[in-house]
Amino acid sequence: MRSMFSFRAEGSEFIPPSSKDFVLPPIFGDNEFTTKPIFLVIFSVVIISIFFIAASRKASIVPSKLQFAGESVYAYVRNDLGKDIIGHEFMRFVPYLFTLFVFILTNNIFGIVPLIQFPTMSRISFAYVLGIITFGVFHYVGIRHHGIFKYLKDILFMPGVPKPVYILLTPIEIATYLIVRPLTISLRLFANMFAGHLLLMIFILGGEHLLQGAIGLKLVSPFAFAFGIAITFFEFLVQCLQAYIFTLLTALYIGGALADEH
Amino acid sequence: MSRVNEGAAWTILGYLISGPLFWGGIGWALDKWLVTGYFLPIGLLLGMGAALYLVWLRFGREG
Amino acid sequence: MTGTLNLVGYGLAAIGPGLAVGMIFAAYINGVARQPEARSVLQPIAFLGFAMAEALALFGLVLAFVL
Repeated sequence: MRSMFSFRAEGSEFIPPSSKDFVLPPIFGDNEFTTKPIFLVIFSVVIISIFFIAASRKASIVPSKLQFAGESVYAYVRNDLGKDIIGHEFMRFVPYLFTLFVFILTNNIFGIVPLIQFPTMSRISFAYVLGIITFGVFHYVGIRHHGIFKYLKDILFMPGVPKPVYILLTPIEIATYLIVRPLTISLRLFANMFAGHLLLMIFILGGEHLLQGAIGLKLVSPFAFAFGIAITFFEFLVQCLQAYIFTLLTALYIGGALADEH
Repeated sequence: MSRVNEGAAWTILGYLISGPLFWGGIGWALDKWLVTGYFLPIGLLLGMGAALYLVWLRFGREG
Repeated sequence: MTGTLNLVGYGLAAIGPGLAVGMIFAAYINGVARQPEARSVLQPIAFLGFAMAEALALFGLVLAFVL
């Protein structure tokens, strides 16, 4: 009975996937700017450009299917994320929000596309760059809108508090606006993509490893693969959601910077 | 205007993280410096209290 | 297997606040669904309750790292 559930070859121990599996070697020589994530970013820019140029080129009143697909994504970002949250000046920010949404969505979905199967944002530096851009945009917008002193005063001094309490509260406000906001917005995106990719690897690699075992283990491995496929669909949901949340938070921060008071 | 409140949960979370982070960090540094053990919990509680107070100021008043 | 038990403890400690946040928003949604005009009264209460419950979870997170 025992032999039915064991591995024949000694030393064929299962090596669980770890964070080392995310460090991919350079494709061309030693140049570390030619790794897979970099190519994925460039590839995503190319396919997004091709898709939206094709979708908007022969724009007509009765839209083709392609035009309809492109326009519904655009309308969704403009109305649900731009107009509802930022308010009457939203049109200035729609290009940024739209680019951000489509870029993150495409790069996330690379995680479940066969043959590519690597979400670019599971390398944290990409998420950090996006977070820093958003951070720069919303502070710049706020400073331009209010002037630097009024903007800082709005952030740092909550109205209606006795003066000594500011010693307690102002550092928290500074930490929130300068450190925690850009950090959490990037970490949330990164951690979701990282964990999702790790989960997929565990089920697929584990199923493959079970196939190398005795007959009892071979019979179990389809369940691991089936669960891997189920997780893939779940990941699709998470990837869309994370792209949405990143854009939503960007819009909320811009809207908050433009708001007249807290 | 109503959807601005959708961000309330995220803002609250940001305050609750940065409050203990800042004051707890100061408490931790004081502990390292003075070789004591009680400034860190004090800092954590102080930071969390201040963060909750800030949340009340922003979201709890009038409504 | 290597690692620290602190993280297991944090996992257990996060169950409570997780349930609490769920119950708070469930009650809030319930209240607003029954009486939509009560939204502006209920919203600050819901968010303050959320903040209190979340504070406990974050205490657990911090203590898991520093202890």
